[in-house]
Amino acid sequence: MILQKFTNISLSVFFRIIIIVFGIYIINYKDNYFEKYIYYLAILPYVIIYIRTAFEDGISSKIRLINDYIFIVFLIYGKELDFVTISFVILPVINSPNHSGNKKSILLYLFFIISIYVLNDFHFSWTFIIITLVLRIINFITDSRNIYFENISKLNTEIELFLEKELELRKSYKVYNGILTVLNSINFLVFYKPVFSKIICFKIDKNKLILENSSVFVWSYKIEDQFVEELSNASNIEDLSYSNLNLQINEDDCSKNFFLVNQTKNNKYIFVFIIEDFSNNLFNTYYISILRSITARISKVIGIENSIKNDNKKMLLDFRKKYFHIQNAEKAMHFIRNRFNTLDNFIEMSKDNINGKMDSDDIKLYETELHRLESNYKLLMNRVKTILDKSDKPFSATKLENKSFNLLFGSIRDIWLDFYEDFNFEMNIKIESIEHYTIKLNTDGLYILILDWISNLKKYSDKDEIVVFTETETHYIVDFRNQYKLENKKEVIELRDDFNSTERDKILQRTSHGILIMKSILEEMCVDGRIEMNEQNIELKLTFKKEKNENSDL
Amino acid sequence: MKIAIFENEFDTVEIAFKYLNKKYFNLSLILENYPSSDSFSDLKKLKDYSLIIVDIDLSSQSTLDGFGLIKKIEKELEGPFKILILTGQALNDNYEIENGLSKKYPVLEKPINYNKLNIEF
Repeated sequence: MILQKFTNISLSVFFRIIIIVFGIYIINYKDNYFEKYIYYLAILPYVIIYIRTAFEDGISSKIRLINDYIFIVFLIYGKELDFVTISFVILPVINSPNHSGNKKSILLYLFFIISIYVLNDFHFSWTFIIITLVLRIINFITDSRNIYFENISKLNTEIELFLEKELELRKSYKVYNGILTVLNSINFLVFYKPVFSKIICFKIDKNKLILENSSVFVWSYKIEDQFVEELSNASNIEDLSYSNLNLQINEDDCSKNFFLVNQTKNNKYIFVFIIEDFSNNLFNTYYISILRSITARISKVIGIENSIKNDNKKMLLDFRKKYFHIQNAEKAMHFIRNRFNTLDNFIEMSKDNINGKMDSDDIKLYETELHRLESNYKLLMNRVKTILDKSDKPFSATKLENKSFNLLFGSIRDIWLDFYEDFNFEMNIKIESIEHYTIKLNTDGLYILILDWISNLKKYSDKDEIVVFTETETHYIVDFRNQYKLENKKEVIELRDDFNSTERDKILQRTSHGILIMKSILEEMCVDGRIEMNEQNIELKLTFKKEKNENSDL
Repeated sequence: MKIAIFENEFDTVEIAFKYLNKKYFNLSLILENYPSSDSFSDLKKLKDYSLIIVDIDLSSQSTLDGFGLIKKIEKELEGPFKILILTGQALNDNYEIENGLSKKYPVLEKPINYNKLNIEF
């Protein structure tokens, strides 16, 4: 709005400069009726009146217009009506599409006719009217075109405002209120100013119209079957639009309407604009044309929204699987504790047996418990096997994909920058050849691996954190190096020993799950990882096997 | 001495109870197993039992879990009664509040043996 006002002011000032310059030209090159200095003096009140009334609408704009005409008529009064003088008189009319105020009124043309009449020695001619009419028609066309684009711009502004301030998942319907306000402010024709009450968006899904969202709560809708059928069979729905179709919304008749159809990459959307008072098929085409690009943009927002919704659904399904795994693990623990009853009791009874405190009846019970323990042992081992089955684990990095070195570098840099302000690295890789190779990676696994290591590094590091990228003929090697805090030496040694150890149980006894997870991921991604340390420094060396890139020119 | 044992996997504790009965109670205990909350039709009759042992994780066929059963017993039984909770889970300190019980009862965590049971008797 500020930019538009500045543009209008600039155009207004520029127009007055043109009038004054043109006026000076006429004063100097035409025979004057008054003394020349009087004309120059006239510039002064003209400028003062303009400045006093500038930048305001209403009556001020009318005063500016009268001021322009008085100045023009004064300058050419008594001069011959020729190409130059007529051009001077016509200037305000030509400039009218640029007017900042509401001066496109009949006054503009009335003043023009009066001016011509005065300059023509107060003789009337119908030619004045014809010329004025032609000018009015030309200006009407120009104005209409400008208003058309101005309306599109206003609607786009509503979408921009929504995207900037109110964009929330599943709330794209909020944009409709702003659009309705703009639509209801459009003054396309004096006699056709429909009142828009609702905007409703449907999605075409398997020959059915599914409500997507709307400016009001919609609990029921009914659309002509023929329309749905026609739409489903149409080969190209991109530019389709319909007017005044039979439609019921919330059991109310909403047959004053127009429909706009938009197609995105994945979906087809229909926007229905409901009109309250009067809806004309022909005049609706104006609204359809200004809304075409707007609805296309809203379709894209809804498309993105739906894509995020679908991703969320996939995540929830994935979460559900993980939840079941955890629940199964819980159930298994309960099962195991129950089965351990026989073991616990057998051990306790064994003490009596060893001490010779059992009679024959006791021995029978003891034997029964032993048999139960044996069968429970089998059940227990089966359950343990099920829990440890890798395919059932909630997360596994075994699904590997060919990825570029760029991805490895980018992932490490991104996670590093979550912990440190600068990414300190050394690159000893032939950059020109990285396209020739790929690495087998699981991107989620890589993320967890790097995240775990850098968070460990941050915990024990003193200074000199650096990542060094090197390569051999067959491998890419990533070294995470840093100086550790001497007071943490014991923990760092334990970390190294646990990480390099192949004894899973030993690691479990001593450390948190972090190291185990890192080791599992490395194992699943077939990546070699080893920690080295000396008196000051610790280094994690990850070795990724190079694979020849089939898509490379190598 | 009659004891009601609400336990759906009684086979895992049966010998512990039997051995306990023989060793410490000279077979004076009358042990009755009910595998679900629905197995005991009239809970009011539980007043005839000296001890009610309730496993919290009764099977999915049981209408009520252990806590649900204890709540029902609390409603139905008048006068003093003794309950021992058996569980394969680790219960919180405020388990009685979280599960809407009127008071705390002794808890015996699985796995159990006859000596652990004897301490609670």
